[in-house]
Parts: sequence; C-alpha cells; structure tokens
Amino acid sequence: MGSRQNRRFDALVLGGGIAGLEAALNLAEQNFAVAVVEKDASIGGKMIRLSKVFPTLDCSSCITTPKMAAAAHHPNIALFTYCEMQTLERRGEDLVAGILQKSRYVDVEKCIGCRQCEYQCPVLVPDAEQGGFAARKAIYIPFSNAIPQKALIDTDNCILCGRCAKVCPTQAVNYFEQPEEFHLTAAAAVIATGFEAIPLEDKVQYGQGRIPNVITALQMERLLAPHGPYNRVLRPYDGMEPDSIAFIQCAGSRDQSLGVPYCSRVCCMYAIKEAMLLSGALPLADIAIYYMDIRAFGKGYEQFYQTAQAMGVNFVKGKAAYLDPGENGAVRVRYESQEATGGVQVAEHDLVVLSLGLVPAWDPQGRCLLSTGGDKFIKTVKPKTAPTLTDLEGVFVAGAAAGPKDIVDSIAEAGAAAMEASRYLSKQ
Amino acid sequence: MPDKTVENEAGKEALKKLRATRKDQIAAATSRVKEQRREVKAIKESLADSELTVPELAAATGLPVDQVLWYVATLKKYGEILEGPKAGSYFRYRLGQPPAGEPEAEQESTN
Ligand SMILES: Cc1cc2nc3c(=O)[nH]c(=O)nc-3n(C[C@H](O)[C@H](O)[C@H](O)COP(=O)(O)OP(=O)(O)OC[C@H]3O[C@@H](n4cnc5c(N)ncnc54)[C@H](O)[C@@H]3O)c2cc1C
Ligand code: SF4
Ligand code: SF4
Repeated sequence: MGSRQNRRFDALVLGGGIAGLEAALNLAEQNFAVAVVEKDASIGGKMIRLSKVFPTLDCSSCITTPKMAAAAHHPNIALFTYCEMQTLERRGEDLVAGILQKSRYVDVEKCIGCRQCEYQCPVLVPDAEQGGFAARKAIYIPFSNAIPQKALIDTDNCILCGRCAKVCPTQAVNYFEQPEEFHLTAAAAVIATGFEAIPLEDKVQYGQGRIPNVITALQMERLLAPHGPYNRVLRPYDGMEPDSIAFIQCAGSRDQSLGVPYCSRVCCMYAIKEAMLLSGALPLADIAIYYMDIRAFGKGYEQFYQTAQAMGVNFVKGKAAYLDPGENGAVRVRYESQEATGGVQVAEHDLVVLSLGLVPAWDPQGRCLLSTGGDKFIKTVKPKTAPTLTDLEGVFVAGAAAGPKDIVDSIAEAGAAAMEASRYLSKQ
Repeated sequence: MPDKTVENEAGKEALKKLRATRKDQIAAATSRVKEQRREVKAIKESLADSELTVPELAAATGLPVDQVLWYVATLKKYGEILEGPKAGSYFRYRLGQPPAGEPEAEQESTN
C-alpha cells in the first residue's frame, strides 16, 4: 500500500476498475513502477459489484477478486485507495497528478479488518453497496471481498460515541484524521475512470426513485448476487417474491430529451443476462424486456439473446414512456407498442428494472487539458488505428472512460493502453 | 494535536472539542439512532413468539412495510433474524441469536 507522500512512478493508472487493474498489471509485469489511484475505498470498479457476467455467466466476483489481489500484491504496484484524482497536468517531461486522500478515520497500516468496530457501532445507514436495500454501520468495511479489507468511518452518520475506538484491538481508529492533498509524478498515465449510470432521481417519467419497486439494473445485480441484501430476489417494497418482472431498455439512452443521445451499449446484454438469471432464480415468474432494438454486438452475444428467448423471456418491442404506481406495490408501464397491436398499451408488473443511460465518471474540464468528445467521454485522437491515444502526450485511455463498453472490450483496450504506455516509456 | 488515543485525558478533551464542532450532525444522527432502536425493538418484540412475514410485521408494528424489510435484511445480515419457511409469496422470519459482542439495544452513550 502506498504511503501518502509525493512520490514518483513510471506510470499512473487513474481508476482501479477492471480496465485500470488490467493496465496496471500489464505495465507492472514489464517491470514498470505503477501507481493505481482509486476514489472508492476498494478497488474493483463496477465489475466487483456485479452478480454474474454475460455472455459466459461466470461469477463476477470470482473472476474479479484474483485480479484485485494480484494488483494489491504485485511488488511493482502501489495502490492509493479512497484517493481521488483531481488534476492531471504535464510539466515538461513529467505528468503530475493532484490527488486528494479522503479521510478514513482509520489507520490502514494498523487496521486488520476484524470488523469488531462494525459489530459495536450503534448506527444503521443505508448501504449503497447493497443498493440501499439493507444497512451498514457508520464504521464499516465496504463489502466482504473489498481490497483493502480496511474499515472507514462515515462522519455524516457517526455520533462519535467512541465504541469503535474502544473495541479496536490495534488502536486503528483515529477520529482526528484530516484529508490530505498530495502529488504523484510519472512519465505516462492511463485514464481508466469508467462510467456512472444517470441518477434515477433526474428521471421524472420513471418516477424519480419515488415509485416503489422501480429499481436500477445495478440494484438488480445486487438482488441477484450471492451475498445480496436478501440472499434471494425479493421486492424491495414488501419482501414479496415477484411474479412478474419487467426491464425497460434505453431508459435515458438514445434520447436527446433524456440527456444521453448515444447508445449505452451494454444495457441490452446485461438486461438479457439479468432476465436469464431471474428465470433461474424464479422459474415461475414472467419476465418481459421492453426494447427498441436489441444490440447483441459481441462474440457469442446473439446466441445468448436467442437462449433467453428460448428460456421464455418475453421481448416486447416498444418504447416505455411513463411509469405509475399501481395497486399493492405493482408498477404500471405505459408504452408505445411497435408490435402488430401498436398504439399506447399499459401493463402491470411486480418489479420494474431500468437500464439507465451511462455517462462518464470523471470530467477533465478545468482539471486537465484532456479533451472530451460530444458525448463527454475522453476523446481518442486515432479511434480506428490507435484507440487508446488521447490528445495529451503520454496519456492513454482504457475501458469505459472512453465510452460505454463491456468487460471484454475494456480488458482488451487496457492491454492496448498498457502497450502504448510501455512503448512511450521505453522511448523516454 | 494531542495524543489521539481516546482513553487518555488529552484524547478525551480533543474528542469533546470534535463533538462540539459536529454538534448538529451528531444530534441529527443520534435522533435517527434512537428511532432505529425503537423500531428494531418493536420488530424483535413482534417476533418474540411468532414467525411473521414482512407485511405481517408491518401490521404488528405499525411501521411502513419497506422500512420493516430494510430492518429484516439488516438484522438477518448480523444473524439476529433468521429466514423461515415460505407463506404464499412471502417468507416468514424468526429471531436468531445475536453474534457475540453485539451491543444490546438499550446500551447507549454519546459521551
Ligand atoms: C448493471 C450493469 C451490468 C453489467 N454487466 C456486465 C456483464 O455482465 N458483462 C460485461 O462484459 N459488462 C457488464 N457491464 C459493463 C461493465 O460494468 C463495464 O464494462 C466495466 O465495469 C468497465 O470497467 P472500467 O474499469 O472501464 O470502469 P469502472 O468499472 O467504472 O471502473 C472505474 C473506476 O475508476 C474509479 N474512478 C472514477 N473517477 C475517479 C477519479 N477521479 N479518481 C480516482 N478513481 C476514479 C471508479 O471509482 C471506478 O472504480 C455491466 C454494466 C452495468 C451498469
Ligand atoms: S464513534 Fe462513530 S463509527 Fe465509531 S462506533 Fe460510535 S457511531 Fe460508530
Ligand atoms: S478499525 Fe480496528 S476494529 Fe475495525 S476492522 Fe480495523 S482493526 Fe478491526
């Protein structure tokens, strides 16, 4: 684990998701000293939060955890977690990143991850890592396979009762810790800051998060995960096992009026995946996917789509325009059918899952001279022949930071970005 | 900055000062904790001699049904509630054993 001083590396990797970890491991294997900067308290990005992955249906955490561990234990990699990259600038030969180390209020060198503090803490807080469907404590380890396994305190909810400090066997709790700004310097950098889904709260037509049983696809990933909030799929409104579940595709994508004019690319495939996993978990449930067209773009994806159809997932061609609360926690979907029946139709479901548009997680504007495209993702200057090149010398981009993409493409791009960075470093 | 071990006098004094700077936030969080304790107690009392579903627990405690599920999921995670058999489309829940070291709901000290 890196100490919080200003330090020099060969390469900086900004973002510790799957793309960042893959790029870091590739560079470290070539004997370059690499710093991985991750804003969350754990590395792993979105992938560690998924249940299973399309198209292979591998357990996501089973294939992400070894990569996370490999990066954490690699002698040429220093991890800087709970550290946010704020600025990145070129100073002559050097790239200098301005980093904010946020306060954990727990000394990571001392914490042994025993969770005694968590058991003793009296405050319950909605756990964002479980879609808000269960609680964590005010002091907590982010999730069971987080790396590092170190606690942190959420000061918005801490009542400073002193219990965690008293019970900690290693005196790791430090209520007085302050955030710290520091610099990391290197010759090359890989931007792997990934994506976020647009907030449901912004979407009036989908109820702004106020209609019970309307959830996001990332929340559905948690309901399907083996260590999910209920350890099974239940409606978050009342604990009922849902009988009828609907997915709304392009909820915010491919629609200028909704703010995301482009296709978010992975939603068709993850909705099909979640529908298949649901039909395994709830064999008697009716599962519908409301879609404009299905984009099964990758190797084996069309087959995956056909398997879902064969499993009985109902693909309804139509644009869902509006959601309303129905009786007893049901959700009414108003949609414009593009099937033979046509016209505006209404259907009721126990649970509705939104495939929300994806947007960049990091905006370089005012922080870094990197350009972005019309979609606000990092601009690539040779999108056909060298898709990881940016307009800042020595800075490369990988994964969803350059545009929404799946894990396979993120990993392939991370390998390419590491190779470009390695070539660049070798010329220095 | 004084020695940061909460146990010694300098540490205690520093903690007191920190509490003063976060006064409003601590007051708001403390009232949430008190409400949580009342609600958890009501749920546990309702489960003392019967296995109930989430809607039944909501009816028994007068709490909103989604709030009951949130507590049930949380208490289940910490081993205090166990899932029982299915009743129609719902599962029943019963009391489990709290893990060793878990504080009793009544203990409270904000000082
Ligand atoms: C619901 C859902 C299901 C999905 N299912 C699948 C699937 O089954 N199969 C598949 O192939 N793909 C799936 N995907 C897509 C998959 O999540 C992405 O391909 C993958 O996560 C991209 O990895 P990444 O590393 O580029 O980005 P991310 O996973 O977003 O990681 C980026 C990291 O950078 C960090 N970061 C951001 N800004 C900063 C900053 N300023 N400083 C420091 N760190 C920062 C973030 O905290 C994050 O850890 C799914 C996506 C969604 C939304
Ligand atoms: S001091 Fe804060 S984090 Fe620690 S046990 Fe008390 S409320 Fe929880
Ligand atoms: S802060 Fe202390 S009690 Fe909490 S997990 Fe770390 S070592 Fe254990």
